[in-house]
Amino acid sequence: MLCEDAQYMMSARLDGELPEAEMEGLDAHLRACRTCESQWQRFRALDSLLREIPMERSPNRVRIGVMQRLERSQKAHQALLGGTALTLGTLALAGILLAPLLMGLLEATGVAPALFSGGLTTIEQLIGVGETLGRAFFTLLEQLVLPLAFLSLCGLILAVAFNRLWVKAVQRVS
Amino acid sequence: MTEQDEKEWIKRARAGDQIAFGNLVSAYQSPVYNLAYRMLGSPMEAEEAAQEAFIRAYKYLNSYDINRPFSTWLLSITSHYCIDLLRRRRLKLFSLDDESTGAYRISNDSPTPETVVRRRELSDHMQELLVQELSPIDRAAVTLLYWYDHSYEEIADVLDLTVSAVKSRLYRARRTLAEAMEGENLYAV
Repeated sequence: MLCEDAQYMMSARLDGELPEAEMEGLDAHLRACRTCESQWQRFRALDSLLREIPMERSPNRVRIGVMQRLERSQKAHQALLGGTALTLGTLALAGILLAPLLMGLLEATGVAPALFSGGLTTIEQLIGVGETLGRAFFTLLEQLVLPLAFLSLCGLILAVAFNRLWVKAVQRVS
Repeated sequence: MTEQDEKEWIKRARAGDQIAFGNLVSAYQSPVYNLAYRMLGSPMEAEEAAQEAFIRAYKYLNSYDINRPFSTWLLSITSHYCIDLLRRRRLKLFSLDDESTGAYRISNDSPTPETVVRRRELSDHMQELLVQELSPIDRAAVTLLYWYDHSYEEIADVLDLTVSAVKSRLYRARRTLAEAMEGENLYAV
């Protein structure tokens, strides 16, 4: 038996993992090899020392810290949901209120009839429509700054209210 | 805590019940903290690592296989987190030059105050050797063997190793520690 193999077996023996059949071979080697016998004594002493070391007491702060982090994470999640609801609410409201105005403007500029009658057949016509739409958009912006601000504010209030309701509902569930 | 309690808490925690998860934290904070402490060698770092391990466990609770022991799964998360942390940081090893290198003797007599102090010193010294001399995975294997009474199979399960690899790592760790202790003149038994 090689010394390296014997020392490998010693480690397994300390853990009760050395098969019975190999015990005798190891013992025979230990009787014959002073180096390995000495290493065996070192391994045993190390084993005793390690087994003497007690478990550390865990600070209760671990639990407190985990619970605080989970709470923060839940709040961040709710804030994200609230923020998403806020954005979607504002966009939806603005879209609903702006759609009739935009359609009216398209009617007035003659773009809508052309669009819906299928009269646009050439690239030039399409480019012309694009330019008209661009102008219409900026005109709309100029004329509707105040209404837009008002509508956004309404959307904001609605979204905040929705967010509050959502947070309360989540808290009730948890 | 009974096994039934544990299963119930896991089920409730999976449904988002943080109080139930808090019960699991209370039940397992000691083994998780101890493993992190043996791995990292610092109480502060161990506390942070233990918290992080629990947060990860909460996050991935749905992927936990209920047929596997929860403790094994939790210790696996903890050891892998600590191993990654040590690898990332390339933990600066600290010198023992200023430490006392006097020989320690283990006594089986009833502990006197002096014995208690010496055992504490020995414990700290061995902890330093573990951190200083062993690779993170070897350290985890030694920790699970000595402080958690894990079998080779359980250690292999926690660390995602084969049983044969565990056996080799424990042998290598013992040889390394034995040599280090020889150098420190810690054998006075």
